[in-house]
Amino acid sequence: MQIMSERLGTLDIPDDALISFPHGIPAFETVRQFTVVRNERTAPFAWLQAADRPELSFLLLKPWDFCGDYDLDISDGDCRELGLTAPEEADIYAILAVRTGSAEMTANLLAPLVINPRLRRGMQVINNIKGYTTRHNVMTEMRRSQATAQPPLPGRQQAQQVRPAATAAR
Amino acid sequence: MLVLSRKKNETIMIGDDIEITVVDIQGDQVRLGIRAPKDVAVHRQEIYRAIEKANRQAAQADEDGLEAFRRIWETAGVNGKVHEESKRGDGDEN
Repeated sequence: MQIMSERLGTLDIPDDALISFPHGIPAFETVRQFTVVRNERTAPFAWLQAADRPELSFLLLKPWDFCGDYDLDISDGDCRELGLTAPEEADIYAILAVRTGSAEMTANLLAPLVINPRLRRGMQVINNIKGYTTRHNVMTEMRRSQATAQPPLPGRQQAQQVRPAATAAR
Repeated sequence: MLVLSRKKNETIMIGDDIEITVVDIQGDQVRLGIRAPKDVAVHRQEIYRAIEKANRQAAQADEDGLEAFRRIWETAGVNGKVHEESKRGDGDEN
């Protein structure tokens, strides 16, 4: 199907690239269908494009692209709503905001987007790990987490960091 | 707007399947117990408002700001240093 995007032009996407957001996202609760647009040229950035609103798109980064020690704790209820049965199933993104007229980019690490690609369902969830905000400066986080973190282990590190509340050791 | 006074352990019902109980009162803090269907999201208002605000700002990201950031990102040498994790599931790259 074709999706019109003011930012990205006309997008030809397969029907199975449509993701349903049963609650929309806060401030856009009635927008229920999105697609995630990625391409090599702008990787690792991606876009969340609303299917029915050409003017509505959000810039995305996976939290671990700039915050190597990001911890995520998704509630049982949210996991159930998304149909997630294992941490590795989830695609996780932070929504980015760019201040007009400045080069400052901030990321919402308090409420990431969680997508179940198998069921094509997504939600913006609240991270139950305390200490995150809706506005982390991306460059600052990157410098901070590179300065302190070991190089990440592929795959395994993310699986450890995403855990439903019931099994979280706290 | 409805204002109801409740004592500790008393409950309010909203609709058929949402219950709010005053679990405890200590000084100026009230602890509320909430029972709601799992598809009803329950949030502290200030957190929900902060997320709404961040989403509205994010929806307004303009090209100039993005372009400026992309340049900084590239000169920081991040392009190409993509972690393995972020490549998982990105079937339509390449």
